[in-house]
Amino acid sequence: MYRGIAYSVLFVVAVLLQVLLLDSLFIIPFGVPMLYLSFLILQPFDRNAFAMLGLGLLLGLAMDLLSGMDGLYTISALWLAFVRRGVVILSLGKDALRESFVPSARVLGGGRFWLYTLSALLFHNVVFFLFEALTFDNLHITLSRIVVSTIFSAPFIWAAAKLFPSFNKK
Amino acid sequence: MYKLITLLKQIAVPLLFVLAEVLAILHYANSTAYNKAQILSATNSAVGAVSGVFGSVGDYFRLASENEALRDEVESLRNQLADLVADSTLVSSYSAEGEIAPYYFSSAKVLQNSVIRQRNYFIIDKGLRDGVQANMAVLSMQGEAAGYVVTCSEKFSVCMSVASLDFTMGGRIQGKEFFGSVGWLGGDHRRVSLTDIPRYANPQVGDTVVSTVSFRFPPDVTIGFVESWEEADDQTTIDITLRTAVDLATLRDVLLVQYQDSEELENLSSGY
Repeated sequence: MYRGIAYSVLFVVAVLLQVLLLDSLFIIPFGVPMLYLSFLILQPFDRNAFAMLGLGLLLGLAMDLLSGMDGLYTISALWLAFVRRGVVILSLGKDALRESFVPSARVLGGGRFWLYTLSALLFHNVVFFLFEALTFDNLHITLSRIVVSTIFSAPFIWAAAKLFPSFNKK
Repeated sequence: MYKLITLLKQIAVPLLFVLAEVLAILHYANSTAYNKAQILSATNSAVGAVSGVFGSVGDYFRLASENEALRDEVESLRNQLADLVADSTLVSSYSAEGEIAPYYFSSAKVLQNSVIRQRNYFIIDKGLRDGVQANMAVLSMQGEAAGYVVTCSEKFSVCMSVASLDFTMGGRIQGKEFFGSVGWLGGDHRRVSLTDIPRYANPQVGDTVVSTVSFRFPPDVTIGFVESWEEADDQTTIDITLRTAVDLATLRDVLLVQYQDSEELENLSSGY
């Protein structure tokens, strides 16, 4: 119950901050900090695959509707929701899929959390920026945007995880 | 039967994912700037309302009325200036009627803007019913190049920003005759390039780059200022990096420029 409320608050706050603040500010050349992805990245690892797809769809539609991107956010958020299981296995091992905790640097350990977060962001950003470009012309710009956005989004996800209630049993 | 149910359970998630993804891709592939304007006009009021909560409401409303008065004044002055220039040129050059290119200026407010995408657009609060048409130039209130109108709905228009990889316009260094092509470099929204300039053009840091005559932009609109340059791959020209005169991230009010003879010029020049 409380966890559901916390995730709802995270959804609203992350999406609004993304649309109203981060997407309107020019912070770094080539890069966009993607705070809204914290809603998917910080889901418990044992979250049902159907539920993850539903949450990905919800997040993508909300972002598309508020930023007028006509499907780009839905394409990439669905992709991240679908591959997150694979990302967890790749970055943390198969055993992690049984864990019901909220991912954070505290429970995973700093190195493992950054590895998981950067991997998830990279998987997402490759799809997001290739679909945004819709061409392989100026590929160096697209690649720069993938790398820079991945690196600069990670601290925002870390901060969201730090502020998010852990709900973990001691 | 049991095996079929088991199989369906196993492929249900990938199947749903593929289905949803295909629908999203189809929607994205068929999206147009017009759709974008429609969606944004529908959601803009909601976003604006929430934005107001986060922003400084009092300051915002005070500035709004001030901005409106200033916009009207600039619009009126620009139109007066255009009339005066046209009249004086007619008299001094004995030009035939119709030779002078008349420009009509009107103002608009930027509703939504982006500087972080590869193709950046901004939406303005004027559309077909206000006389806005595709290809009208969009300038800042200081008269600096900001973009041009791509498409319009009844009440809104989508404008391609100078900071868009698809944007190009003609530019020349003020005081020199060499002209080239201006396009965005893709990173910082305030850095654009001026290419195809001969090596012997000898630019100086700080030189002003202005627009050439085109069916979209009036001549001599300030685009930016020379920051640096390097030899192009063909070794006969240089690529110049400019800092744009307009800061697109802070664009709030704009001037729309209607070039009355744009259609004639475009028709004549197409195919050459």
